[in-house]
Amino acid sequence: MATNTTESRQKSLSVFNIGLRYLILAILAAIGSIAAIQLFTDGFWQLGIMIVVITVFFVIIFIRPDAEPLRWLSPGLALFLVFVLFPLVSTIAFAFTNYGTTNGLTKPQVIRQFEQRRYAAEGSLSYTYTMFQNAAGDIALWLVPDGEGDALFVSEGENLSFQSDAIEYDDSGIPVEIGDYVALNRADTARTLQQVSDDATFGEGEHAVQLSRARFGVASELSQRYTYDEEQDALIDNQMGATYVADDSVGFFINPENAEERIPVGYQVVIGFRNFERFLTSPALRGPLVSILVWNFTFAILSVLFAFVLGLIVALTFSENTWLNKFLKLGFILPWTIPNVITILIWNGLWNPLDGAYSKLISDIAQFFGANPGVGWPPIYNDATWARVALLVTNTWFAFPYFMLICSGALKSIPSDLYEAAMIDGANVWQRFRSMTLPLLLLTVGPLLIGSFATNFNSFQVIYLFNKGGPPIVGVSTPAGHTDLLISYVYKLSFGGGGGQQEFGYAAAITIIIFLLLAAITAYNLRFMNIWEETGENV
Amino acid sequence: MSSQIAVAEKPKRGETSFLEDPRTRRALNIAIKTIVGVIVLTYAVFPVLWTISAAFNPTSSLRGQQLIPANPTLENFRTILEDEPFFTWLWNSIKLATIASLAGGAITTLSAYAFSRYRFWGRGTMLGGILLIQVFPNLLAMVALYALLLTIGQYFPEFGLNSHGGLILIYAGGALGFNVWLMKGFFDSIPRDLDESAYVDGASQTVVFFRIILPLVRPMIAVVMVLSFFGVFGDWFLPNLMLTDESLYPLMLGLQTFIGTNYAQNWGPFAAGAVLGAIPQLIVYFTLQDWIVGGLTAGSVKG
Amino acid sequence: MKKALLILAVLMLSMSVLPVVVAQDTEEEEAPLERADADFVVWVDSNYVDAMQEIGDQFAADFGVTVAVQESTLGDVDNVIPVAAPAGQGPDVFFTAHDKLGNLVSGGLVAPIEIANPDGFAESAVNAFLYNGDFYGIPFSIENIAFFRNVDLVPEAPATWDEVVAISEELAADNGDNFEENSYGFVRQGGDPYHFFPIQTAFGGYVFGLTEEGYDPTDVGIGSEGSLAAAEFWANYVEEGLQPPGVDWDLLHAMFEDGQAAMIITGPWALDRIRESGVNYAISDLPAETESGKPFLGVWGFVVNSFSEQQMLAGIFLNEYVATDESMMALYEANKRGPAWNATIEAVDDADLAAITSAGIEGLAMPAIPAMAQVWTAWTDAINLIQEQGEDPDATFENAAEQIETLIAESQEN
Repeated sequence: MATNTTESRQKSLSVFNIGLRYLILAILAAIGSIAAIQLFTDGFWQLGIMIVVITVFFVIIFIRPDAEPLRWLSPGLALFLVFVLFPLVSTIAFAFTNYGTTNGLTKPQVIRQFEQRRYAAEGSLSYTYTMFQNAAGDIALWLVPDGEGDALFVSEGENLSFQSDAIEYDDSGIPVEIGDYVALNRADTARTLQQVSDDATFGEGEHAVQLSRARFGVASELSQRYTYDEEQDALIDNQMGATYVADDSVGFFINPENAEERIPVGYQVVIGFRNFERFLTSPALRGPLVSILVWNFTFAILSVLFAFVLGLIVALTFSENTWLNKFLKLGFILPWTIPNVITILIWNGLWNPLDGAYSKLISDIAQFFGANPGVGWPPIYNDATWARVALLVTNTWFAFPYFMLICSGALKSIPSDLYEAAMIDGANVWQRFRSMTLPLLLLTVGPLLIGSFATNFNSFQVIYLFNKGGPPIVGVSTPAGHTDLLISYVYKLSFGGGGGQQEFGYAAAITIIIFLLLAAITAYNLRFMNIWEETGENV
Repeated sequence: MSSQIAVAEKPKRGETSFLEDPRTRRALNIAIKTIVGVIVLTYAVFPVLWTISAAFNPTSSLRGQQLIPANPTLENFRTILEDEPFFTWLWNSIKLATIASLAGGAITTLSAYAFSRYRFWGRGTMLGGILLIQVFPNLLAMVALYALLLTIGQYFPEFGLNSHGGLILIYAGGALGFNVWLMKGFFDSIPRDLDESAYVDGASQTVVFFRIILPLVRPMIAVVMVLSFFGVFGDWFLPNLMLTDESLYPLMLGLQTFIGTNYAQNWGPFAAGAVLGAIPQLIVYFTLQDWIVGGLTAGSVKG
Repeated sequence: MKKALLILAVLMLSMSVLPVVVAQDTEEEEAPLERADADFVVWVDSNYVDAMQEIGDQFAADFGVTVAVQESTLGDVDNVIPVAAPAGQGPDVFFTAHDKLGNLVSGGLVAPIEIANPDGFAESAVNAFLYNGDFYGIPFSIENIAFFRNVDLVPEAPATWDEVVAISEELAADNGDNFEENSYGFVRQGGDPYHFFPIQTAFGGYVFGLTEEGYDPTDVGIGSEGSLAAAEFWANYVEEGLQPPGVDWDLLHAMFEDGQAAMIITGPWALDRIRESGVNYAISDLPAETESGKPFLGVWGFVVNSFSEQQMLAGIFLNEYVATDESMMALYEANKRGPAWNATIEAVDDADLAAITSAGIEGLAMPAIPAMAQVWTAWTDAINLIQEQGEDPDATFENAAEQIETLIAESQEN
């Protein structure tokens, strides 16, 4: 249908318009190329490739007439490629590396860091220094050893000669000036200190010194603790006399004689499928995984269902645009305007079995029916069923305003003449809802239900803030709770429940596995969605 | 499902029951509305009232408080308004959320229009792909996003780390998501004959899109903008990673500093700030609400 | 429309590539610092920002550098520093709790530093920042928990857990089914191993065996005889009805402040609210049983980012400007926690803090070894299972120990 009119409109393009288009395109291509080249020269090749892809894509879609629809998509698509797809591909790439807390740096970063380490060898001297500067701004130090010994005058990398009897000294025995070097007072020294690099070595030979990293005005004879030997690909510990050879399969410098002994800081390496292997053989999968998965699906499905139904009821009931309805909806949207970090804790308080308002209400109802539940009933946090119900009630509270909003908008897509027709046919409210409103609504809202399912499936924050996945399951091989979702369970296992080591590579591998699971479900559901879509277009 | 459309059965004449009497209907209607209204409003508002109560509570605790605090105090509001750059934070939030929702609304509308009105190679794949990618647990993408802004910042600090520009780009990049589906569904419901007949009348594409289509999808544009406004306003995780200057903090990140320490969380000022922060969101919602539910008369959809 | 669309598209694309193009003009300029635009940057908890800025200003004046102190949280040490520091965006100096040290050191994020005057600090504080034989931080405060009691209800501090039980039994004798009318003796919140540790140690339990080289990750003490004894003791206490179910941290303090709970274990962070409530309280050492009750010590300090270009200045700043009587006092005044600096410990005359410090004299530094991360969840669950769900204490703690051993073995395989 659309193509006929597209062609007719195509003809109206004037020569000027075409010229302008090519001009803009040329500029665009030039911009893209320059950007890409610059990125490649600076070493950001991943982003460079991205820019090349986008530029080529843009040029193509603006030259080919049949690519017109893509032009509408181009602004969103460009941003999407850079800020969504690119990070996502990086995450997938993490899964094949050992990137994490102990292996967060690159190998050159580790080498550089350890080459900066210094130590004071036995018998090395410590000095008090006075800083000198000449007109050219060069810095020199007058070193007075702490114990016995002669003073030295040194600049960066060399010993300077001086004639001790030809210099003028101040009261404390420090020269006032040597050659064109003039002594600085303490305050000026402090201000000049920033010009001295951290690794600067003054003087030469055995008495070469570095400025102290602890005390102002002190310099010490320090030696380099670690040296990197390129031939062996190893870090050599000069103080202890040990050699640590790089093992690129694990990303550590390891003592070849004792594998347990290694440089504590690891580096990133590609480790292939080891993260996936690790997950598939981990105790997590021998533990309570099945019951967690069952609950995970239950939780996600019910959360979406409850929130959608409640949101829809509200949207339908208060659909007229009256002042009363407007204010009511303002009240309904409230749960969404306050950060859930605090509202979950408020909910925790309301559920508390000892003094929570909701628990008291439940307890009072039980008492009204003659039960005598006693202190601490209902066991919201100790009983799997109670905890799950409370969690669902809480989670619905967070999510229903979202569906209220979406349904309010989506209901507007249902042409009112359809209703009129149905009314004339005499369909009652329920019939109209079931046979017209709901199917048409699902057409628009369906994909969001799937999306919401996925979000709830990984609803880590709510679970963790609510009760950390508790109450705990008795006697399991790895710690897990009755309200744990796959994601929080894995978090407990792989991140030690927070604050521990973050093994990004491993986590990314798990993420990918969860993603594949979710993607399969989504793709399966999408097929139904397509059926709906065709129906929708016929309306 | 599809076969059910418009198959509502006709009731037989002369069987008008009690339920179909207009007066009972209206009474029933009001009764249902009242019941649903009261229950849902209580459900929605009660925890919020406790949050407000916490904002007036003199102790920093969230517990042992009454719905109406025993010794209500304005101290928490004083703390947040005087000791902290509250209005800077609020302004940052409003700025970020406004720009991000405008950009998001524009991108979503343009993309959804293409998906709804054109059939082109890769359309199904792209639509499916957009949905699938949203399903990817994105917690780990943070590291990659950080690196990305770092790289951009090397060339253009206004869009790098510790800038609002960078954050806005990330938020706008996320606009091509579920909302496109939502909007596309809405476009689909607008009869194609409408644009076609306009073209026949000689209208240009610009005119058709801006004059005819846009007014019709206004409810959904408003929904999408509220969604992105609220989403950006409530986010603190991304700003926490990307921003280091306190003067650039959005409100939610600023408030986090009150609860960042274990066992010494200062909930009073947090609650006060959160309650105040709800106000601009409510204003935005209230303003756009007319677009969402009102504005369109029954006839305007008809070609 | 098409033209408009094309222009919009170009604009959008330009937004994503312009940065690179503009760089052509600014190529010679240094890459902008995303950290604060200052020579020297410090990240610290909001409590200390003002105090540190004042110290920083002095340093700035003397050394002719600009110093910016920025607000940060402990969460940033886990989440932001590992990403920001290697990218050159981290601060030069940042604050941390010592138990993060294992992660920071193995991540290569902190540089060893020389402590010019180690004798100026409490020994336990300096040692908390000793890792693999190197010092990594300048400590400024020590935190630990202590035993709080309501003096009106419990005039004499109980010395042993046996005495605690006796007092609690007496106070809870008339309890019925209505929680609000009940009164309790000693009460603790659910889970929370940190506050359970003093009970566990009083019965001879431990978490990791302590050798000369520090904590030994192969010796998990959750299932040890002492830990089991503590678990049994606590299970009995719960069974007697002396501990109500479902108590969380916040409710626990509310109960204490209302006089509903006569004894609790808590830390200095609760002092403000307890004082405000007007309850007549006193602080004492943690009750003993077969051994003394030992809390964990948490030490806060400043560490140097290993990617800092200003490590010499950072060392001088910390040793000569922060580790001074005046600065340490200012930090103490900013947030009243147990000081780590000897002169400040002596100068402070706060009876409550002194009592808390005394309770921590025999305290054990919270293990900073990475294996500790595998302990928390299993340990929390075990305490919850016996306290809230009435599970068998021995089986539960033994199972927890097995879980922890499994997890440690698992994480070391990597």
